[in-house]
Amino acid sequence: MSAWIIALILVFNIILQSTVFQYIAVLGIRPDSAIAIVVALSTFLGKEYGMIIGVAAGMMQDIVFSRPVGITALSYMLIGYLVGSNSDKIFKENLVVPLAFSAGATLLKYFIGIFFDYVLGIPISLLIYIQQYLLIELVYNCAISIVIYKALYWVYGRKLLKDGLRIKRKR
Amino acid sequence: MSKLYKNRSIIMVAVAAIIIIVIIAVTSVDRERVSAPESLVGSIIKPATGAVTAIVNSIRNSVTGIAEYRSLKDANRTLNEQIISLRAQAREMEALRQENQRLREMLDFKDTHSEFDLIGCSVVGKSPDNTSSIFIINKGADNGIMRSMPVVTNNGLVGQVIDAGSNWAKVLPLNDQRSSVSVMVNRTRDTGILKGDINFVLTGSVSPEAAVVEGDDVVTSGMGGIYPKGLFVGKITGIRTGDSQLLKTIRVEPAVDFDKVEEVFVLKHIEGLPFGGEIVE
Repeated sequence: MSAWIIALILVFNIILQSTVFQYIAVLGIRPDSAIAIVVALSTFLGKEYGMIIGVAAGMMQDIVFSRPVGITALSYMLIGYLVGSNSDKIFKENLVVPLAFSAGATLLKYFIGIFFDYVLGIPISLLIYIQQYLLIELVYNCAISIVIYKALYWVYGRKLLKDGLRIKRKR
Repeated sequence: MSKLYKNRSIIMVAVAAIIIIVIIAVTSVDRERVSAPESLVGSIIKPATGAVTAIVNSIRNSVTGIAEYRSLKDANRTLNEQIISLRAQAREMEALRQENQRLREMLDFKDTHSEFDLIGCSVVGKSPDNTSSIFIINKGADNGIMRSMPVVTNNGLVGQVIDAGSNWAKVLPLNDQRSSVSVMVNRTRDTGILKGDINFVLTGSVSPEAAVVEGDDVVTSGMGGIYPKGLFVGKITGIRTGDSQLLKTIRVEPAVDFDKVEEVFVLKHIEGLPFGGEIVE
């Protein structure tokens, strides 16, 4: 049941991202709400769910909008895994959590993107990437991640946390 | 036990990463069609994206419509006056067109684009990735759209199809950093290469002897095999001679506003001849 809801959230998110988000762009940059969702759910559910949700969100975006397919999936998977691995060590009620994780996640996404651009021989300018894309998106992602984290926490997170604990206890 | 558990998740990540890297490698080469799972995902996302885009566009249009009522009234009067003069021009043009047609036939000119079918498509979504300008359209392989087909609007060239699903396709616009097109300056017939970049600006290079000036029209040269000759790309807005003097750099203002494109045509080659380096079915 929760898997279906998560899938619905991810599909709904990518539709919003590819349609209405162009109207909330700041300096031409749209926020990556998928990162915020992966960060929030990985914090609540741990690393294994985190990586699966990351792969699902990234693959969906890659298949519909990118070529080659898989680079976003790889970044989101690592984000889900790394955030989930550290989720036991922090207070999930504290809003510094999504802020810090989203900042790190955005950096990781750009690092992997630039790495694959380099490997695939696409000419890139590191300075422009950082100045015009990374920094703005970083700030925007952090801002939107607080909203999404809070929303998912209140609507869903408390229940998820209980479910998550139950799953862990069963093990 | 806890060690095994820890290792298990690391192994999971490593295996998944390897699988994804293989997928990246496989999909980074040119393919005729996307795979069945990809086509399925696209078919699920596309109708919803299309519906949301349609709703957003209609809201935007009605909002701007209300806001612009007064200026529209003025515009209406001006346009009516223009219609009258344009009708006269159109009659004149029609006469010229017929004359041109006759002259063409006499000279046995081949109409350069008659070998193409135009497939009308709507843009249904844009890539969420800020550094990419790829968008998806609402028709695909079922309508005969295949990879490498040129995409145009009535204003000029947009780009090319890079992947086609059953009823959707990805379009790579000219201003994307992965895009490049062989062009010709229409007035001087100098050829060059035009590339998109990270800022979505079209820049390119021509021979240093080329006597190009700002405002010159740039069209496709037909070299490179993907785009047919003579499609309008845009106007030159900047010229710079590099330090090495080996090439002249030009900056081109595209004829198409890639951010606002809503309707496009895909050019389908209808003669079944090899075009763009491959056989089109």
